[in-house]
This record gives sequence, structure tokens and C-alpha cells, in this order.
Amino acid sequence: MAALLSQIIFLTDKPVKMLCDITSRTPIFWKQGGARSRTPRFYVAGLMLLASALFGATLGKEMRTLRMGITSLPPAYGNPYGAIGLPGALTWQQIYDGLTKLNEKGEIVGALATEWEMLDPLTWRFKLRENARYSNGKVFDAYKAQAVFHWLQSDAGRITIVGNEIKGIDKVSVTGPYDLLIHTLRPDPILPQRLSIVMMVEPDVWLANGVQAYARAPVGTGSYVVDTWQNKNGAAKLVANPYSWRPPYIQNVEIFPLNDHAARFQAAISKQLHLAQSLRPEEIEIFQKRGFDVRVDATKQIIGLAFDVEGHSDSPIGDKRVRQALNYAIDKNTISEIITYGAHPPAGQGAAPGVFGYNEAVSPYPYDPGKARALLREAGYPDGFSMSATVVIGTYANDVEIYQKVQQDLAAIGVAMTIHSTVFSDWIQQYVTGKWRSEAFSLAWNATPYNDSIRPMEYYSCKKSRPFFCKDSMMVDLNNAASELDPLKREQILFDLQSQFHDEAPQLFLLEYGHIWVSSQEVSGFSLHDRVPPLHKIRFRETK
Amino acid sequence: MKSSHVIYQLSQHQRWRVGVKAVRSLGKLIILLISITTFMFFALRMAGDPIIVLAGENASVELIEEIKKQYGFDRPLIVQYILYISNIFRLDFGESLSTGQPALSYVLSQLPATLLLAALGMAVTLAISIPAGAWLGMKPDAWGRRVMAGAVFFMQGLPGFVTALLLIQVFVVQLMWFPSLGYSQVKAWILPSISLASFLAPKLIRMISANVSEAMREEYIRTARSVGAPGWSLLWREAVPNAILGAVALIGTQFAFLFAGAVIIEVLFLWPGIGLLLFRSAQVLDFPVLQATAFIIAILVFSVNAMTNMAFEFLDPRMRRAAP
Amino acid sequence: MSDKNSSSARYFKRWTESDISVELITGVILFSILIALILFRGYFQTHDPYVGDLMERFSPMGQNGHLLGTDNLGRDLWSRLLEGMMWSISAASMATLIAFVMGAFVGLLAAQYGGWIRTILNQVVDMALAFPNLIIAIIVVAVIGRGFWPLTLTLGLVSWPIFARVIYAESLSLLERDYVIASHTFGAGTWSILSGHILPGLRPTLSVMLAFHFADMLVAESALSFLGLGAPLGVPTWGNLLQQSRDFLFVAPWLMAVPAAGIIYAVFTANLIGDGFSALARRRGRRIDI
Repeated sequence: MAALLSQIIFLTDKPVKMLCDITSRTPIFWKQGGARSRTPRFYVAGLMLLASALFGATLGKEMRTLRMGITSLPPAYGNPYGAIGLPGALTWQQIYDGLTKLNEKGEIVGALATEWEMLDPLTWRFKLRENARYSNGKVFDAYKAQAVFHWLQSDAGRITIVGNEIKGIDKVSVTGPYDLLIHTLRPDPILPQRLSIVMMVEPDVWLANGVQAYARAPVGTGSYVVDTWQNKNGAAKLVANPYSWRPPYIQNVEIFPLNDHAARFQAAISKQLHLAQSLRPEEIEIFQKRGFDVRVDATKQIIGLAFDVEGHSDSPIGDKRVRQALNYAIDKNTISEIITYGAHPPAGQGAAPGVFGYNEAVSPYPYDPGKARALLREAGYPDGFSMSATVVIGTYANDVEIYQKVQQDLAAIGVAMTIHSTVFSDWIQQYVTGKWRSEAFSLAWNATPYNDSIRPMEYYSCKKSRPFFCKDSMMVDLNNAASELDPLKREQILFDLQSQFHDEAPQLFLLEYGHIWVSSQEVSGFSLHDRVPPLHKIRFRETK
Repeated sequence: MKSSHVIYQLSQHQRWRVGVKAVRSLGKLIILLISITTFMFFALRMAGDPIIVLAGENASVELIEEIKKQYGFDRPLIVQYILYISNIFRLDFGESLSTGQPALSYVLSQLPATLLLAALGMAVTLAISIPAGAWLGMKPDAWGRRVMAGAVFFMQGLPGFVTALLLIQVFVVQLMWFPSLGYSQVKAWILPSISLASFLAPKLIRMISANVSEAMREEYIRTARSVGAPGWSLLWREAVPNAILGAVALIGTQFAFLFAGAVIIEVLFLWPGIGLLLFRSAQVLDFPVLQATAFIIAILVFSVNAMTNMAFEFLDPRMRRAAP
Repeated sequence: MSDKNSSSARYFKRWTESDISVELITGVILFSILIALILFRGYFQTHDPYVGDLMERFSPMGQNGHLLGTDNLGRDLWSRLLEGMMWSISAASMATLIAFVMGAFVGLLAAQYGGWIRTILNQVVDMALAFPNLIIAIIVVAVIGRGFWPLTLTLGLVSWPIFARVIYAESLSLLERDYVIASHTFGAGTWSILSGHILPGLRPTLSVMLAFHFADMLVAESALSFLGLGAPLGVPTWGNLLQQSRDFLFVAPWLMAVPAAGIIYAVFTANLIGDGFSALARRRGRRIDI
């Protein structure tokens, strides 16, 4: 601060006076050859110009623009097939619709489809909305939907992430202008959920412009159209889609990609943003005091450190008792209550309450260092061992502290854990190729986008390509859970799997995690549907 | 007559020299660009596989192989390199792996923001450093100035981003005077440029004040003072220009830093320039954009260096005269 | 100083005119304090720098027996500051050394041998100067990971061209001196000229440069940590302390003030020493501009 003050003094007080003195002097006679003489007047003029430019100009007419700060824009802009879930969905859900969507409670409801039924285990009938139009004015109907599915099943579409996700769809046929039949190869109990990630692009423009051009200027049925992906504020600018079936109240939206947590907090607390995502628990109180509406999103993730059992089967963590011991060693209650201020409760299975398949009977591993030591002794490591964990930090609001607390707790039972924090691009190379340099790595159980626990389970199994945890005995149950159509029976299988995963402990289970959102007093109508706020429901409050 | 004839000859000689120099530096630039792009090509491949990052954590190895084929990343490295270099001669860096935009025009579209930030940062730095340096250098032993010099000395240890964070905390969060996002409003220019200046100015102030104090001790200035020339004008007409001349190299280096190294300030203030682009592209290993960015930065740094040298020759009377 | 003949005045006069400048002495004293704190940090640390009590998190300065307060995990900030001092100072020194060795090697080689070796080496230096530092840092983290050596290597790789430039230019002018040319004609070998004439001739410049460079490296370490490419998580380098304090600027501002003060102190010290050396050189009739 002292330094800062000194600068301000430098800039405004003494030097300026001094400069005025200089300018009032008469030109001088003394001139030594060489050095160019420049009158200080230029300098003063320049200084004044700069000062007037900086302080004189003010913001012009204020446009009522809704400003939202999130961690990042979709990596491939408006191409909705290259990724699933956050952060892409935050933007795509504003410009596109799927046939279905998840509502505020995590239930599957209609979007571009209004109703659906299962005709037989392999055939589903979808009735489509009749009032939907794209932002270029074209009508959305069953033929458009069919063309979208056709593309996703083509050679180019198959290799996209979304195309890969719906590879169980055999064919899509049109039975009426707003009637669609979807045939699947195998019984798929979560097909309606699956369709919520298939955004309906305008197939004619999509094919005519090519994927990348379309991604820069997307055409969708949603509330907004992308004006520019980056304006001078560094934000993506969206404007209202005049043809949308869900027209927004606010015409202009700016979405700020703020990767840095501190930057999001600062922008939100200084009211530069109306909505902000992923803030820290200790800031809840600060925001509430200033009249913000704070919401901890319904959690769909279990965060923790997964063990690379397959790649490190010779190391201590190849032993189930060791993995359990590590789970007993962590004081999750303290982490939850003190580091996250109770916002994120402890976890002991691969799903959070509210996710289909969450087993209430399975409770988190209690904090029991004695038992942990006993298990280690039993496994043949009475003096502990050393291991390392590869983590990406900044993914979750408190991850830096959580991992360091875990490190301390493990040290207390003799396990020396080195934390290798790395960048995401390095982490994902190891994750995809299955070549982990560490025994453990940061990985969540993520129930998004279907709100069903089957998807994360498959990643913690032999079904993942290059798996890190592969237990053959669990594969029968997993396959059954993937094809059982009776919800009650299916839920039973998932319950059973959860307790098996709890027992096998392929992860150092930590907390149930969800984003903390704030919305300012200036706006009303904020809600979260599958972690995404539908911006068309938001409006400005009348000012007094 | 004779003397003017000689002068004419000299200037023609000079012109010829300038011409040779321009050609030579252009050649140097081309070699520099080729070596940088080549080095980038191979070095980046050590940082990881961009297709894995592009495909995301939900992709299987098979899927990744197919996407690789689509982007031509499955070909032998040497084939990729030859294609890449031959495309670069047509200024084609390929398309951004994430957004699909042509990489070079993507980078160029971000350039104005960085140039603006560099100009602002340098303007504020000079606006602070020249008067402060002159003032401090005039009587370096005066009590008040010693204190100030100490403060400048201290400032040098403060990383620029810490200043930026403090400024944001005070003027954005607490006082809410300025925005901290983007550059669409003039108000938003103030904090980033002050942050940059806080980092650059201390060094420049110290150098200018050292130069000024040295110049003020020079024989001719002391003589001039003793015959009654006003101190102020001596300072501003002789000592300060010479001091700035002595600092030209440093100013050049600082400019080069602003073009290439203002990454953190651009990230903190969401200033959509090439620093922010570099930061984001590095996170997802967007090779074409990274390569185009390095290309542009190399040109900028090279031009700054060339201009620094030119400024030397232009400003330094000894260099100007030494053309027999 | 009124009595010019008093012994203390004479002593003072002699002292200021001697080879040692005030800045240098102050700098060395302040730096010795740093080194002493590092070497005997075990005696000064009041708590384990790596283990904290969550119940005591965000204790302000002086509370609960914590001299400088505690951080977000309840770890004692004073003890962490000392631990980080060890890391930051040794990383900055090692980085300076790496940069110096690389720069000296390239610079001397280019100066000693003309022709294509010089052309190539100068090209390499030009390239390294124009290469984006961020990419070097990312490559080092991806290839080696994070730790003391990757950190110092990154810092060294980013900054060596400055040394190469200066050493090249200086030794080129030294090589043209009469006595060097003379010893060359008398059959002195390359190595003996380098070690006998060039390196001693470079000493004033290098001593100033090393001190200033060390200061720059301390600041650069914090910038690398800010970008998440510095020392490993949990290691309390000053850069990491600063980086982690950002999130708590609102709740616990001292978390930022303490490491910032540490960096300012160390940079101040290094700059004093650098100034001292350059004052020394000036007194001997040389001017050094870095």
C-alpha cells in the first residue's frame, strides 16, 4: 500500500508542479552539440492528454445487460457435440434445446419433445413440440430431428463425444410431422436422459456451413443467439432469439469466462456480474451480508482421489485393506465443516443423495486412525509407506486445502503422500492412456448429465478404456444395471453396486460437491436446472 | 561549396548503409521466424497430445485415434513438419483446434488489445519514471528524495500481479470505482496500466535517476551552472535527454516484455489480448494458435529490438556523426 | 563532520573512499540475516510448517501463539515463511546459476570463435529471447513434472539469454584489448586466455548482474506459481504462499502481506548488493548498465 501511495503521489503531486515550473522558464541559450533538445511542453501535454483520457471519459448510456461469470466458455464454442456437461452446457443450454431436459429437481422433463412412451424395450415414441423455431426462422419438426440423428450416426458424427454417447440408437424414423420413433440396439433404460444432451442444431445450415463455421455462428431453438464469442469486455455476447418458443425477459447477455476463482469473486462482489458460478464456501457469508442470493447447487459429484489399482497393483494400494485404511484415516467431518463451512458433506459411495441409485444405507467411512493403522498392519505395512497423487488444482473451490489436509491426515498414520499438482492437459494424457505416474489421482464420480449413478460407475470399472480399477466380479451387475428396464429392480442393482464400491474403495472418498452460485439483488428468477441457470427466466427487478 | 558536397556524399553513404541494414535485418527476421516455428513444432509435441485434450475425458482411446486421423496427427512427424513449414510460407498456420478459426487471423484479432495495453502501460511507466527519475537524480542526497528512492527500491520487489490484486481489492471490490473486466470502457484501462507500470517503473526510475545524477556531475554542466545557466533547463535540455538515451535499451526490453509477458495482467483483468489467448491455448494445447502466437510475438520482439537499435543511432550524436 | 581532524571523521572519510560501499555492506548484512534464518530455521520455527490445526485457521497475527498468524489450514505462517525462504532463496540462486552457466557458455563460445559458430549461437540467443516463456514452463511441467529442479530449470531456461548477450558483448571487447591479443600471439591457449583475462575482466559486470538477476528470479518464481507452474503444491515457497493467499484477500489479508514482505525484503537486499558492486565499479572508473 505504501508503495501504491507513493506512486499516486509521484503521478499527481510533485512532478506536475515541477513540470509547470519548467514550462514557464524562458528558452535557454545553452546548447551542447548532440543531445536532442525537446521541450518539456510536449511531455506535459502528453501527460494531460493521458490524464483526461483516463479520468474524463465515462461510461455512456447503460444498456441493461445480464452479466454472468462462469469458469469457461465451451471449448469448441457452439459445437454442442464435442463435450458433455459443464462448462459447455452453461452456454449451449441458452442457445439450443434437446428433446428432453432435466428440471430443477433433477427429473427428466420435456423440452423440444412434449411427451414420450416406450412402445417395446427397443422402441420409443416421441411427440415433438409444435411451436419451436430456429433462430433463422425455420420450423423445428421431426424431419429436422431425424436429420440431426442421421448426422450423429454418420462417420463424422460417430466420432464426436455425443455421437459416441448415443451409439446405442439403431435408427430414427418419422411417423408424422411431429412424431418420432427411436429404435435402439439394446434395451436402454435411460434413453430419455441420454437425449437431453443431444442439442438440436439446424441440420441444413450445419451441413451447408460445416461444423466449425456453425460453431462460430450457431443456429438453435433456444432463448438466445450468439452475437460474438468475445467482445471488448472479454465476454461472449448473446442476444434474444426472436423466434424462440421460450423467449427471454432480458434481451442482452454477456457471459464472462473467468477461469480464476479470485477474479470471479472480485467481479461478483463488486457487482460487475449479476450471476456467478463456483465460488468458495467461506464467501457465502460475505455475499449474503451484501444481499446476494447464494445457492449451493444440488450435488452430483463425489470428489476424491482415485487409486490407479490396475497400473500400481504391486504397490500397497493394490491391497483392498490399504485402500480402506486410507479412507479411515481422513477426517472428512472436519474438512466438511471447517474448510467447506458445511456446504459439502462427507461421502462414502459413488453418488450423492438425489442421484438415481444413491444408497442411503451406505454411510461414509468414519474417521478412525486406529482402525486405519490396524488395517495397514494387517496388510503388512505397519510403518506405513510413501505414495504420490497427481491432482489438478482449481477444479473445485477448496481443492488446494482439501488435498493438503488429506496429506496431513495420511502422514498421521505413516503414509507419506507427495502431491503432484499438474495442469489439466497433462492430467488428461495420463487419464486417457491409463499411464499414471502416481498411485492416486484426482477424479470425481460425476452423475451429470443423466442424474443416474450408472455412468460414473462405468468409469470406475473395466468398461473404461485403459481402466484404472477393473473388478471382473462387478461386471455382471454393471451390465445388468445398464439394460434393466424395470426402475425398481434397476435401483436395487445400483444400491448393491454402491455398497460394493464402498467396500472396494477404488477412491479415497471425500465430499459431495456442488457449485456455489450467487445472484445479485438486481435480478430475480434465478434457478438451476442440472447445474445450468436458464437465463430466459431471469429478469431485472424494478429499481426503487 | 566543398563542405556541403561532402555532406551530400555522407548522407548518400548513410542511405546506402540503411538500405543494407534493412535487408540484413529482414533476412535475420526470416531466419528467426523459421527457427522459432521449427523449435515450437517439436517442443510443443513434448507437452502432450492435443487431441486427447480436445476429445476430453469421456473419450476412449479408439475414438481419439479416429479424431487424430481427421486432423492429420496420425501421420509421421516428419511429414507433419514438412506440411506445416510449407504452409507457413503461405502464412497458413492451420485452424484452431478448439474454435476452428484460422489461427493467424485469430491471433491478429487479439493483437489490438495487447498493443493498447502495452502502449498504456508504457505511457504510464514513462509518465511516472521520467519526472520521478529526474527529480530523484537531481539531488540524490537530499533527505526527502532518499526516502522516495528507498520507496522505489522497495517497489521493485513487488511482483506486478500482487499490485494488480491489491488494486483490484481496493478500487474494484471496496470502492467500486473501476471495473476489472475487459477494456470496452476507458475506466477499465486504468488499473491494468498502473499494475504494469508499478512493475516496470521502479527499474526505469532508478536507471534514469542514476543517469541524471551522473550527467549533473559532468564537467560541462557544472561549468554551465557556474556561468549562470538555469538549473532547470540544464536538467531538461541536457541531463534528462541523455538519461533517457541511456535507458533506451531498458525501455526496449520492457516493451518486449509487455508484448510477450503481460500474460498475468491480461488474465487478471480479462483483457482479451494475445497474452490471454496464449494462456488459454496453452491450457488446451491448441498447437496452431500457440504457434501463430509465438510467430507474432517473435515479430513484435524483433521489431522492438530493431527500433531500439534505430533509436540508439538516432538519439546518440556520437553514433550519428561516426559515419565518415 | 565539522572537525575535519577528528579521528572518527577521518575514519569515516577513509571508509567511504575505500573499496567497499555502504550499499554493499548493508546488503551483505541483510543477506547474512536471511542466510542465518535459513540455516538455523529449526531454532526459529515455532511450529511445524507443514502441519496445522484447522481449528486455528485464519488466526490473525499474534494470536494463539502464532507470531504472524495462521493460514487457511491453520499452519503457522512464520514457520512457513522461514521454510519457504529456504526454498525460494535456493531456487532463485540455483536458477541464477543455471542461467549464468548457460549464458556464459554460449556467450564465451560465440565471442571466442567467430564464423558460423557465432552466427548460430547468436541466432539461438535471438530465438530464446523471442520465445514465449509460458510455453517453456508448460513443457517443463509436462515432461519432468513439478519440483525444485523443474522450477529452477524453467527459470534458468527462461532467463539465460540475458547473460549470453552481456557476456558475449563484454568479452568481445575484452578480446580486442591489446594485452589479450598480445598474450594470444605469445601462444597462450584459448582456455588460459578465457580464465586468465576474460573472466577476471568480466567480474565487475557479472557481480552486478548476478545480484540483480537473483532479485528478478525471486519475482519470477512467484509469477510461475501464480500460473500454477511453480513449486509443488504444499511447499511454502513465497510464490505459492502469495498464490494461495489470493483467495483469502478478503478474509485474511495478512496471508498476502507476509510473503510479499518476504519477497520485497530479499529483492531489496539483492538490489542493494548489486548497487554496491556497481558503485564499486564506478569508483574504479567503469560504468555498468544492466
